Amino acid sequence: MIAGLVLLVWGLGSGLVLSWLGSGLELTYASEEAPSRTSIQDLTPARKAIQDLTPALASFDEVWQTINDTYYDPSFGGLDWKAVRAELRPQAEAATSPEDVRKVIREMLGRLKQSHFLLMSSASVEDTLPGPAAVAVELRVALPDIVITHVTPKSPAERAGLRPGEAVIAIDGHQSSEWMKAGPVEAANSRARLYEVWRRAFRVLHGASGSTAVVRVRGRDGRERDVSVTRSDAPGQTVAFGNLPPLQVRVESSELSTPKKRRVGLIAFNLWMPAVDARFAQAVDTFRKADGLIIDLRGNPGGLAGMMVGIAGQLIGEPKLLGKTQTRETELVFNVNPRLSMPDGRRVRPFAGPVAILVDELSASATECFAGALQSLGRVRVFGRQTLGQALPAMTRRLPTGDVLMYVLGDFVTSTGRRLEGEGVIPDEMVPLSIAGLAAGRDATVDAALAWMDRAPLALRPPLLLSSSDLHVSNSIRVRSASDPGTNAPENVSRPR
Amino acid sequence: MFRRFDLGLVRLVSAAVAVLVFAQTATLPATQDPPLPSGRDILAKHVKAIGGEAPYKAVKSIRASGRFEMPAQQISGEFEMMAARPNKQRVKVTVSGIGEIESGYDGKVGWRVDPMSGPALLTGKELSEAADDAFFDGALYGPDFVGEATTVGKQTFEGRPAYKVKIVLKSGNERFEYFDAETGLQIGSETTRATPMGMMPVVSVLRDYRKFGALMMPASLTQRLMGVEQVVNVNTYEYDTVPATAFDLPPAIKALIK
Repeated sequence: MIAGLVLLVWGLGSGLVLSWLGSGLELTYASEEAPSRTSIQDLTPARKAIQDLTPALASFDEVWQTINDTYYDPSFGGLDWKAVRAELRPQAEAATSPEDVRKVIREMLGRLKQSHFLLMSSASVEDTLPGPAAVAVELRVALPDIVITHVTPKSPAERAGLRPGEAVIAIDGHQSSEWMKAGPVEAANSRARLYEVWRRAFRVLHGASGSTAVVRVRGRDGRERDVSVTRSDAPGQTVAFGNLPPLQVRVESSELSTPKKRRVGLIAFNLWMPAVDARFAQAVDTFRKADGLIIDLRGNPGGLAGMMVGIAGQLIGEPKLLGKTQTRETELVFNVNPRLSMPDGRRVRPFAGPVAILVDELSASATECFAGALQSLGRVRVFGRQTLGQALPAMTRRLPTGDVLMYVLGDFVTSTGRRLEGEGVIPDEMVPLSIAGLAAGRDATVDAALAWMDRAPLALRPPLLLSSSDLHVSNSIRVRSASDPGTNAPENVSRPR
Repeated sequence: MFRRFDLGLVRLVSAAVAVLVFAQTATLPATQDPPLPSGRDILAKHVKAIGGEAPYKAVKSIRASGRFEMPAQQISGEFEMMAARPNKQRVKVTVSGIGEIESGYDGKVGWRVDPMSGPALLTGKELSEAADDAFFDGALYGPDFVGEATTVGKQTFEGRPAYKVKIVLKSGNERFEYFDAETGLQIGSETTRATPMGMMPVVSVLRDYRKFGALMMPASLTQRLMGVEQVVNVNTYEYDTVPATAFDLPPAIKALIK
């Protein structure tokens, strides 16, 4: 019986231990600064500071200790971790506010020069979104501009007249030129710096539900105009999980056709959360007889590691190795779990046709591990732009201040030994962002994938299925042709953030 | 007296290293101390402490339920576990933000279904460990379950004086278990478990034994792996309320069996 309890925990352990999210996670939950027993008003200024800093200093110590105990490289890459503490602890003690201590903690994390070491605080303006609603557009940095790449169909943003391809000049008076300035950015590479620019713009898009944003845009004709847009709540299923803020999870699918009229399924999802799995499986089931599959992971910042083996199992029929993570204690392996059955008991085969994965500069973490792993196995062809290069498995931990520490548990390499941290995934076919194409209603990355489907080896064509019940076709599917200019962009597939 | 060992410090390092250190400690001579009880005697004392063999043998099935938590990660959920003679088990955990995660063993087939990785049949060491976990009389440590039980030392475990026993099961699986030197109850274990992601060292701590019916059962289990703590708090143990159909394989698992 007691052994059974052990089994209970193991049923969870492998998937939950690792949560991967890109560093752009913005918080919306409340701060939990520990209250003191003595009224703050009764204290002298000096004593107030001491009283206020107790949980902050405890957090400093917990951050240092956690990393000291769990960082996968005991040598810390040559960094003297104890010396870092000796240097920075006095600075934390000399701080006059919890926010100052946070700065010291962030300095400590920065010394590691790795992604996924984050201190997330709802008390820090930089870490919090101004509100849960947003102008319903997708943005990407295309120097020297920040460009609208997608407008949610039927949203207030579309009704207000915002269009893909337009450059954003300002939002509520916040000038895009300000976002472009280096400021406090200490990013490791140009992609990370551009990501920081995007993050600032993304933040300003947000506000209270129903609030109005004035977006100044420049059209393809060079004319500037102000557009008043009501901010709307993000679509999708709200998922609350652990230390993470509430997340909106979306899975959308549509049917496309290649220039040679081959049938291709397109599935997009914006986060690696369990709410995705069943809907992804259903979408694959719908397209099981299609000539090809496109998985759109542009803007997907990651999620739970355990998801990767199940989603890959929709595409691979053997328990092949996707990759490995070396932690301080052990080596974790990610083996494909071939998806050979459906919840209703039908036996099926994983999709065996050609698969394209779409990525861009905002694809991060679990998305990079998934795309990189399947690329290493030769199972997919990757289209788009180089990914962010933040691909370390991480865990979160609540600190005494109520802040959340995200810390790295291990490094990740694909089955061929390729490390993704830093370099990210380099697409097999690079597809630059085409502003002219966006303005014309085209999606150049999807077009490139569709064109490849017509060239894909016949050996990858899907075999006959074991069951005939896969003939179910979703009513929501739209058929579009890449040969029809201006109509190929699948309207019901969101551009992941 | 055997050299006592502060596990509180050792817990800060990996469980794998801890096992190694303990093994080394156990080799120290103990000329001043009374002889250690045999492994079999320690296991027999544990069986007596939980209520004895006869009351346990009278039970045909057990249903336990309670809560699961990973406190530092603020992850929590409900769990239900059902076990029945001779070797059936099914566990369901419902976690906020994740959904239902289920696993089981029906006497032949070991399986799991979770919304992260999908349905899967257990194989190899995972299957072997699932069969060990499901063996209903495993709690009695009888010769049909335990091949070897060797006392390797007496030391402090979670602040309690404890005997450490190396147990080799008939299946060949091994683990170290800790038994309270005073009460005889099992208070923890160290082992390396097979998981879908490979072998993982884990330290388990059993606390808060209470009487549920005729049996003393732990109301709390804490597990530590890779620096993360998982806590299971059991609210109830019910006896002989589990229907035979509880161990039927889910449709998605049946479809995997050729």
